[in-house]
Amino acid sequence: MNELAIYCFMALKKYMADQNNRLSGQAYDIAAPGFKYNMMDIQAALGLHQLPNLSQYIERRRELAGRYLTIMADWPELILPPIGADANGHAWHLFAPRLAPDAAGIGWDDFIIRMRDAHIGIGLHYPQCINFPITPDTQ
Amino acid sequence: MIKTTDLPHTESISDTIFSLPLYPDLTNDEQDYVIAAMGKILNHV
Repeated sequence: MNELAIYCFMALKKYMADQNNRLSGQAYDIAAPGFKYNMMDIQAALGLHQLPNLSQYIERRRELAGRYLTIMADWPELILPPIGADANGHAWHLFAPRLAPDAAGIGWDDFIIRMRDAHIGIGLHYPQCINFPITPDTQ
Repeated sequence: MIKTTDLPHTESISDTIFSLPLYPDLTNDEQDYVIAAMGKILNHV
């Protein structure tokens, strides 16, 4: 394989930061620059038929984000995501609050594990890219 | 060379951020379960 083909192949694989880490199932990591040309016809066909529903998908996401923001508005344990000036234009692709370390009394790792123990999938979006192997000479 | 101390805000956010379930098929009841579980874990009163 030439270099580009190798990078394309590598980009198809998820690189786990630490296979022994309990969090590694969701680890997000990049080991090399590459391209991810793996959209298939069947995915495109499904997407075409979902497009007409896009507005209602986004509207439902806004409802759910609004519920999170309203219900947890006064929680000192969390720093909620900012809504921004254009709240009506927000697609809420992610809802990513932050733990307020002083208020929460629990570490981030323990929090993630305990949420997963409660059968709630927590996303790790996003770790700092300077710790990825792709970033040279970090320390 | 990048030192981790060069990016204190990035580090701080990366160490505390997470994303909660949010997708169109999520029901209000399921979301309430997520919030209740989180409140219990964080000792929210």
